[in-house]
Amino acid sequence: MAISKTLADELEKRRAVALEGGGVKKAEDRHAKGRMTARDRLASLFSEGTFQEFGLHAQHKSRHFGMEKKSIPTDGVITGTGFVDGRPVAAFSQDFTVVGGSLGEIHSKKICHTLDYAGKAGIPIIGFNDSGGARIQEGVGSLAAYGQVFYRNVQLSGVVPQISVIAGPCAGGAAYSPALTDFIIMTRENAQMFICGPEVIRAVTGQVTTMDEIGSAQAHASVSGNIHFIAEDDAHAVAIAHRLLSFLPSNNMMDPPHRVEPDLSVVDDPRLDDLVPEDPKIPFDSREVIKLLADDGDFMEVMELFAQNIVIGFGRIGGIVVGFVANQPTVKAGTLDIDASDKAARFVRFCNVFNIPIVTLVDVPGFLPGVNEERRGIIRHGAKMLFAYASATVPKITVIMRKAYGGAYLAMCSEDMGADRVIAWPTAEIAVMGADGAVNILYRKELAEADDKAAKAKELADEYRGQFATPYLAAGELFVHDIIQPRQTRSAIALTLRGLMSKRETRPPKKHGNIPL
Amino acid sequence: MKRLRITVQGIAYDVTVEDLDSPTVAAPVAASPARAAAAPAPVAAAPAAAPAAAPVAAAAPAAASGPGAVPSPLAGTVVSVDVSVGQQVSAGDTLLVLEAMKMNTNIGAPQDGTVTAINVTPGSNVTEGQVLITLS
Repeated sequence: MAISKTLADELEKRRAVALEGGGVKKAEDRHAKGRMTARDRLASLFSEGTFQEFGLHAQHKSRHFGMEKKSIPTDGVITGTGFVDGRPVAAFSQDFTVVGGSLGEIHSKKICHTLDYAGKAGIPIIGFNDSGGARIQEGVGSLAAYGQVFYRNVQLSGVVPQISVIAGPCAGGAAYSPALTDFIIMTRENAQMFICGPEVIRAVTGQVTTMDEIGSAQAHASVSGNIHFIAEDDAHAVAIAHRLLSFLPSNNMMDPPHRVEPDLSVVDDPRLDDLVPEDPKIPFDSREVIKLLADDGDFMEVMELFAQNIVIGFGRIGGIVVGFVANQPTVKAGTLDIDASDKAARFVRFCNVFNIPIVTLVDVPGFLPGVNEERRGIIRHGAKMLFAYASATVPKITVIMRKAYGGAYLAMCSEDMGADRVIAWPTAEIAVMGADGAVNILYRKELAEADDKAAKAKELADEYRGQFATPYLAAGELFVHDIIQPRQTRSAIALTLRGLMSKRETRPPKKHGNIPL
Repeated sequence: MKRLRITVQGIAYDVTVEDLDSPTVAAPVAASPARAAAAPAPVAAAPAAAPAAAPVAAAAPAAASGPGAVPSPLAGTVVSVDVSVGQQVSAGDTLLVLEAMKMNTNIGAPQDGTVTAINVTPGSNVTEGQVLITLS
């Protein structure tokens, strides 16, 4: 008694055809260029032997343009689940070697099934995008097929982490699926993402541009802010996804993967004292502060090249996963502008929705003054920061390192925005505005009457500075909960985090707030 | 390049105008208009081919300030100029220091090169985007 050989052979034959995808030649061509095939990408994402495929035997059902005679193995996308570091993860990987990875109805159905499955199972989903776009032969059906994917991306948003890897072309409407996900990793070479390419732009507007300028990983990472990470190649993209997953919970009902030891080490780190320049005008790199605060200096920066006046990313303090948000005084004096506000606000909302405590490090002189900022809407963009912080219910710890002026002080998670613990360094300056500006308004009359205006202004400014450019006034009014030496910061945050793990805070029921977009 | 005189409320300004979008700037690639027109569909199937057809001669958007121009990232006052004309610099070297928003901002060289022009002196007020220094 044994399974019929004919039937067993038939399965093996069909498997072999489907597994070959676009054929050995195309796969070899890819390898020769140092690129992975769709299957290679999943193989490197998942632990060996853990991949369970869905839809290997999928077949399209198009009856137009001679398609009925054409067989498309897997319909151009490989989907399924597997394990990463022992945790289940769902993934799809578009196969450019099969009809250009074009998206038809069955192709889309496979992706949708994978997204639905990830939602039901409560596991992260990773999508490798490498597709020429809609399968034109399938007409409006292929457009609807994109719609099905977008709809699910939105339903899953805030439920399970969604990570997109752009590893080839991703153009027109196709670019909107990644845009709806939480993180986009894009390979430096061989990947393009755009809505209208250079040719269309020139045909319609006459503007001359290049793919590098509008669609490359570099452009998206530094100028448009559409992506979060640049990968050097496919393997690096997978490595970034692995590292990112190591900080994220599987879904919104779980805690992130904390690595809490029973004993908490509370030791001062004098290197933090050394990092703070004596002169408040000399900038320091807030990344250095974060690296000293994070366990083993392990900090995964997100959107490193975009709006560099604010630094965001993941790390752990005392084993607890946190999201860092820090002003960066070395860039644009650490001011908040439109791009910085957008970047930080979205990150805060990600952390909140996935139960990741937020550590905010403040050294902000204010919002960036400028006609351009005002006219482009710094009010509504800056408001996103207030909205994001005020609506976040995760533990929120704020460290005021140096400047915290005006509205930007509030936007960096002040006590009034619901910070659970606000600590300041002795170097903190918390005030409505800087001394020189304030004196000009407060003492306009005195200054006008003074014989030596400059001397009088300096005298008044020094007086103002002595009173307001310190943390003591704010601490006196309980806006700052404690003032500590920089070297005590790591211990202080670690202790606070430990005590906030059971934090619960509820809000009035509503469909959703109306964040200024 | 065109020189124009514009009079605003009785004050004459001499300006130089450069048309960056002029088709003469870039050698037009023989792109079939039909194909280009087909692509704007929301989900275009053709973009895979697009990179290969990228324009050959690109008019850099920064052409107004020229290559090697180091613009000011924000409005402020020049505290010090740390290089001189003719000096060789490497990427990241501090060229000058600005004070803006209660903070000093070091302006580093975006690339290796030789300083060909310094447009500001300590004490100069600068606006965002103003070219501070030009590198070869």
